[in-house]
This record gives sequence, structure tokens and C-alpha cells, in this order.
Amino acid sequence: MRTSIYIAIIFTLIGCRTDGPPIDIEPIIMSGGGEVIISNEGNYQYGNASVSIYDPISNTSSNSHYESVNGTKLGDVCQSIGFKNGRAFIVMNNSSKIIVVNENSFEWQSDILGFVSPRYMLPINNSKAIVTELFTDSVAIVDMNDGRIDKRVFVGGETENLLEVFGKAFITSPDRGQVYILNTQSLNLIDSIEVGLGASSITEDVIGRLWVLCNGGVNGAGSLYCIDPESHQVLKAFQFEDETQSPWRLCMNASNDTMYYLNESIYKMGIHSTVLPTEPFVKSNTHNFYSVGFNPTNNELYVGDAVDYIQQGTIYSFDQSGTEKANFKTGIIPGEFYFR
Amino acid sequence: MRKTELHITILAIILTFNSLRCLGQVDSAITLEGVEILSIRQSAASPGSKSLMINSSMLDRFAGGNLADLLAAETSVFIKSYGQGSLATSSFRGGSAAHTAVLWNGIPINSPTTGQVDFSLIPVNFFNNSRIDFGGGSSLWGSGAIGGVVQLERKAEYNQDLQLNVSTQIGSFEQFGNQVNLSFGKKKYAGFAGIAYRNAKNNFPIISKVESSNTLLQRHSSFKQLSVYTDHHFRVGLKNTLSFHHWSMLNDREIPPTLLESNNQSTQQDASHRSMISWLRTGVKTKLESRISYLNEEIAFVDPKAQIDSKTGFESVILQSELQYQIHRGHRLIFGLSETYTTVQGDNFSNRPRQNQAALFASHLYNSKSNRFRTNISIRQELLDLSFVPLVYSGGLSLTATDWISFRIKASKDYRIPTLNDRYWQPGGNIDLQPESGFSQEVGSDVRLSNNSWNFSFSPTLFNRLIENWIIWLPSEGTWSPQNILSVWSRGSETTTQFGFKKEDWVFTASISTSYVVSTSQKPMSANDQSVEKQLIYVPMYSGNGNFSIQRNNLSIAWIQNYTGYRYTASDHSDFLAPFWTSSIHASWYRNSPKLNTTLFARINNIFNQEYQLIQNRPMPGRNFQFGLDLTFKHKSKNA
Repeated sequence: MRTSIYIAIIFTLIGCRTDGPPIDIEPIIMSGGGEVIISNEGNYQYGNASVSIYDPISNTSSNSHYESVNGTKLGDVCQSIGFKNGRAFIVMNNSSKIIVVNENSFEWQSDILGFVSPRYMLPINNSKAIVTELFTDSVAIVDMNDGRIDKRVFVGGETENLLEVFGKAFITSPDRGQVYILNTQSLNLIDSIEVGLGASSITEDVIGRLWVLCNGGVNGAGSLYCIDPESHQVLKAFQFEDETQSPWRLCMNASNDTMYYLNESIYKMGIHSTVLPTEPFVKSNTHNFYSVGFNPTNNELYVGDAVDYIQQGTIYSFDQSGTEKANFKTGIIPGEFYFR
Repeated sequence: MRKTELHITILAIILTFNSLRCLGQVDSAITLEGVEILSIRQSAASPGSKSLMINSSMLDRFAGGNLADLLAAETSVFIKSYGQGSLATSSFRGGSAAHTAVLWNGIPINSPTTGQVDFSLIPVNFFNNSRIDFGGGSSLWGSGAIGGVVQLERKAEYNQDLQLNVSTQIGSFEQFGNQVNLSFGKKKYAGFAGIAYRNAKNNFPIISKVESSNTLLQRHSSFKQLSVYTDHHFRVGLKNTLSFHHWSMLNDREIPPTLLESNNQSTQQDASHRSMISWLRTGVKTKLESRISYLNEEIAFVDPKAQIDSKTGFESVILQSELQYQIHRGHRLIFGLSETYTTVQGDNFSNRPRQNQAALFASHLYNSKSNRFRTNISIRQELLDLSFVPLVYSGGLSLTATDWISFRIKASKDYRIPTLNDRYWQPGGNIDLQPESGFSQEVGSDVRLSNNSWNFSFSPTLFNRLIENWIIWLPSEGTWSPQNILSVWSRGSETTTQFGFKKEDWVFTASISTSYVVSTSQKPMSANDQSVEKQLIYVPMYSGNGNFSIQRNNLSIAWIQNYTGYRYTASDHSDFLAPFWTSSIHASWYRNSPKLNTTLFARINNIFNQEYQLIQNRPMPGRNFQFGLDLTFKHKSKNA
């Protein structure tokens, strides 16, 4: 009896692996200037979104930066960050809010509430900003000083990325395949341009034209549009051939004459090219490339690898020849890059 | 809490409880071998297996509750719950939710679209003869029986007075449960009909560090569950039994927001209907069991925010037949065949995909004369839409060495076919998926010591399993698509220890289960993959539960203690959920008279108001109370 009880105890306690998480590394402190801010989406409903800071000079990074500074979790799905007058506006998609922090210290200042599924924010003057939404068929006009939504402008579809040219905001709509145009003074919808389904990224080149990359929606082929922001005319349209491909994440280099985008691998295309590139700039191989950003300070392309989506991503930086320069760990699902 | 700390705590508990020396289990909870009447396949599955009966004390403690809560509190099965009333799935020995086969009277009720079962929807009160078999069992039970098998059954009670059972429960957060059961048995008939309704507002206070100190109540979290169950058994002649079973459930629940969502307006309605006719013929040397069943389930999910209004449903017809033939003294042969035809429909399927599963199995069973030595060898071949899935087989052996110790050993090859979602979901479904398959082995021992006043039992088990072609959804060419990518190695140990002690009017019982599971991904998915050789997400390495009860005359009090270790939520272990202990206390009083049995119970869950999460950012309720009254009216029939 006694022996069996001892055996029972030993067996009950058996276990040869140490349980417990790895120890956290101390966060680095922003030195000011030249840093790369990365918004990490995290998993939908996991609440593990984060912001990472990377210093290219010392090749050091600080993950979960917001949490380290403020002691609270950032929230659910960090879609993007807007910047204005020393403040950063962290757009938390599935927390349905924008967290306002000091741009340098990342100290929390306020929350802007009342969104449904906010995506991107574009400040249009010192007090107002436009915030796109996934589900409301409208954009929200936010007063950044009061920290609240002033009004909503109905546009008729999902809204995603946006930029401002000539006093007009050009807003992509993935589900409608449109670019909606809002007058940033009157805040009225003044026009729309038909592009491809899955329109998401929008960027401006050196000669003032707009480029819109569309992933083709669920079953369609992707497309790339070049738009004249004055006449609202489509100047050029490129069609991707293969329906299984979903090009996205368009960005410009520092001189705004070369575009990069993601189509599993990374592609590079001059703004005067008459055809889509066929050979990748950087091959994905077994990587799961998820994000692209161009660092104008050192002319390097930053690419995020989301791996299996449930572990820390890795960021690679490439020089102009496509040679890897550095890599570092970031948070879960790195989404957008901001170069300060 | 680190491992050592945990061990010290467990050690402390055991030593404390060891010094009492007098805990144990004297009631009929321990199933004596040879006493239970097993179905044909169950008798074949038994050699070498570790199994656990869901006994009457467990059922009493969870009267009016659901199987998810019972399994989480009373067994070493890990239940991954999205919260009270929300989806709850199981993990046996580090397997996925689809690696538990759930059988109702022998037929699988796992959803063919997800491969899973939501245990929060299964009321415990209809099933008084349920059991859990640990480890692989595909050769007998088919696809998905990789981590373990949960069998839901109800005893046929012949020659029993007419009984009307009415019970009601009231709990915190506006929880209400009501059941009415009627049972009746004559010499040639046994029947049961029951109805249960459970609803809750479920607006518990969130004990959370995430938000500020003011009390935040869980929102949009109510649920309603209606279940109806009936069984009818007819003895026809001396050899035949004809049975009819039906089980319907209607569930309506709100999906609460996570801690970091501002709101969630989604709702989900589940409706399921399951009917079965079975026939058992018992001859001198043969036994034949056949059943036909029809299953129909529908899930309606509405998310106004995301403009989702989707319905997914399936229908299955299952035919099974098993023949047992005694070829020689102690030797039995079993042949079985099974045919399952399933159609599924929903917004994400086109052309109503159909699936046809046909399987043949054969089994040899040997019982020595003394019943001390039992062996089984089984083999199964399934055809999925007329193409062969891996041939699976198993062998098990039980040896009762002396009257106090027995040993068991089992090895099996097991499989799981891809789900209909895996194969046909649009976009992404991959029709070329291979079934998951792999080998598992286990050894164990059962020690039983007892005399007139005390008993002690101890069952350690070691297991090992490698599953290849483990299916996960990954993005491929722009859409998420399932792939046979992972290779997962699970190994570990489990123990079950029981003490019982009886003195005069006092009965003390204690049981402790522990589980140590290392379940690691063995192959990198890509260049950067840091998850290799790391514990899978949401699989606790350490978990355990203890149950200590004192009973005197009509009164009993039980203390239920649970521990769940770290669970990682990121595959590279960069994010995790903290370990937690929860404690509950359950007290009950009964009074039996010839015409009326009365039971009253009270329960306090999570006594110490422990903040914990089973899914990241899905809060679980703190301290909460339940009270219940159970009345059984008995009507003596004249000729009984």
C-alpha cells in the first residue's frame, strides 16, 4: 500500500519539460529620428495586436512597444497608424477605436470611440481627419482635437486606403472596385472612378499621377490602375492574368518613380513601364510575405513575413539590388511600416 | 507558475491528503470489470484501453449542466471553452478538437463540416451510461478516434416502476435550468422521454486587468438551449431487441465580445435532430447489432456588423452492422460494416457537396478462461468517396497479474479524414487533401487495493503518438487553403488516483487525475518558422484535477479543484495564457421514500474568484452560485 502510494506520487509528478514562457527582453527607448514604426495586426479576436519600433542604425528593435510604455494591451487588430502634429493615431480595427498617443513616447493620451471597423486615417488639416471603415459604407470625419467623430459621409461601399491630392481625398473601395473622391473642404462626395475589384493600395508618383492596386476580389484577377487626379480619368490599366494571384501592398520608393508590390513574391515596377513585371524582385520561396514598406532614409525595402500568422513575424530589409541587409523579429502579423 | 512551483503545490496537496489516509471511494463509482454489459465494439475496444465511466456522482454534481463543464472539472480531458454557454471543444492527449470521436449509441456525431463537437450543447442528464476511452481507436470507431472517444449512451431500464423526474436549477447571472424526465420499464419494454430547457443571461462581472477597476459586466452573452430525448426498447421474442432513439436540440446564443472588442452583435442558432433505429439479435454463439440513423444539423450565424447571415447544414444517413461470432472458447471474431452518406449545404459550398464513407472492419478478441488475460486485434479499411484511406489496425492486451494489479498495452494506427469544410469550402477548399494518420502506443497499469473499510486505486498511463499530414489552413496563392503540412508528436503521462474510506456513517472519497502532455510540431512550415519542437498552441503541458468528498447519511459535500498550466497562444511561444487554479464546492442532501425521492443541491463555482481565460481575451465567470431541486415521483405498478 505504502509503496504504491509513493509510486503514485512519483508518477503524478512526472514531467521532464519546463513549462513557462520565455523571459521578455527589455524594450529599447526611441532615440528620435530614423526609427521604423511597425503596426502588427495580431489575430482577429485574440487581442494580441502590437506596435514594434526598429532602429536601423543599431539594428535593435522593441516589440509590444505600446504595452511596455502604457502597461495595457493595445487591443484587437491594429490596422494602421496616422500621424499629425506630434501625435500618433493608432487605428484599432476590431477594437473599433483609435488610440491617440504621443508620437515619440507612445504614451497614451486618449481614445476616439464610435467606429465600427476602422481601417486607415488621413488627417486633412490641423483638426480634421478622414477615417475609412470596412462595414458602414461610409467614412468617418474625426475631430482630432475633440477626440470624437464629427459626422459620417456616406459613400456606398467599403473603404480602405486613402490619400489627399489637390484638396481631394481619393479613397479606395475594395468591394465596389471604386475610388471615391471627397472634397476635403466641403467633405462631400464629388466623384468616383471605377477601377478593379479589391482596390486597396493607393499611392502617388513623381509626376502627380495616382496608382491603385486591386487584388481582384475573391475569384477575379488583380489589376493596377493609373489615374489622373485632376481629370479623374484612368490613364493606364494593367490586368494580371492569373486569377489565383492577389496583388496588394503597393508602395513607392523615395523618388516616387518606382513601385513595389506583393504578389506572394515582391515585384518592382517603374512608373513608365508599359507591362507588369514578370520576374520577382525578391522571391518569396517559403516565406509568407505580408507587408512591404520603403524606407526613404536608407533606400531600403522592408518586407514583413507573417510566417504562420500565429507567431512573431520577421522583417527583412533589402537594398536596391534585392540583397538582404538585415532582419529582425516583430509582433504577430506585421502589417504597415512608418518611417519617421 | 514554473514547473517546480507547481510540483511543490501538487506535492503539498498529495501529502496533506495522504496524511489523512482515509479518502477514497466506496460507492459504486468504480466500475468492476465483467459487470458492465458492453456493446460488441466496446468489448473489442476494451483490452489495453484506458477508459473512464462518467459515473453517477459526477452526473449528480453536474445535474442540469452540460458535458463541457463536467469533463473540464471531473476528468483530465482539456476543454477549450469560449466562455459559459459558448463553443467548447475537447483536446485529448494534445490532439485537436477533431481528434475526439463523439459517438451516440455507436454512431459518430462529430460535425462532418468541422470535425468537432460542441460539448457545451450536450446536456448531461440524458446520458447515464457514458464513457470516455483514451487513446487511438480508429480501427473500431473510425475517422477521428485519434486522441480519444466519448460515448454517449443511456441505460435501458427494464422492469422499472414508472418514474417522473422533475428538476430545476437556479444560478447566478440569471441561469435557469428545468428538466422533466419520464421513464418506465416492463419485462419487455424500457422507455424514457425527457425534455430540458436551460437559459441564462450570463452577464457576469469581468474580473480583468485589461480594463480599469470599475466592474464591467459581460455583454451580449445570453443563451437558450432546448433538448428533447427519447429511447424505446422492445424485447421481441427471446433473442431480439428493437430500439428507437431520438435526440433533438435547439440552441440560440449571443456571441459576446472579446475583452478588446467594443461590441459584438453576432448570434448563432444551432439545431440538430438525430434519430436511430437499432436491432440486436443475441444467439448462443452469435450476436448481431444493426442500426440505421439519420442526422440533421443546421447552424445559422448572423453578424450584423460584418453583414454576415450564413446558414450551414448537413444531413447524414448512417448504416452500421456488427456481427460477433464465438469461434472457440474464449475466442470471438467480430465483423462490421459501416456506410455513411452525407450532404452539406451552405453559402460557402457550391452544388451541395456529397460524401460517401464506407468501411469494413474485423476484430479478434480473446478472453482467457479466468478473464485475466484479454487481447484484441482489429483492422479497418475505409473508402472515402471510393478511394482508399490508410488501412488502420490496432492491438491491445490486458493482463490481470494478481488480484491487485493489472497491466495494459495498446498500439494503433489511426486516421482522420479531412472535413467537408477542408475539402469543399469556397474559397480555399482542397479536394486533394490526404487523411491525417499516424501511430500511437500506450502502456498502463491499474492498481486496486481494498478491504472492508477502505479502497485505493491508482492508474498511471504513458502514451506516445505521431500524427502525419496534420491539416492546417494556410494562405496559398492569395486564399486560405487547408494543407497536409504538420507532423505532430504528442507524448506524456496521465494518472488517476482514487482513495475511499468508510467509517460508521462516514464515507470519504478522493480522486485525483493529472495529465502531462508534450505535443510538438516536428516540421517547419517555412524558413522562419519558430514553432518547431514547441508545444502546440492551446495545449496545456500540465493539468490536473482533484475531487474530495465527505458523505454522511443523506448529506454529501464535495470539493473540486482544478489546475491548468500555461497555454501558448502564439506558435513561437511569444504569447501565452497564465496558469490558473479553480475550486468549486458542491453540497447535496437527499431523502428517499417509496413514492418520492428528493434531492437538494447547492454549488459554488470558482470560489476564490480566480481570473482566468481558456481562449485569449474570452473572460470566464468568477465566483458564482447554483441551487437545485430534484424530485422523482415513483408509481408502483401492480405486477412489477
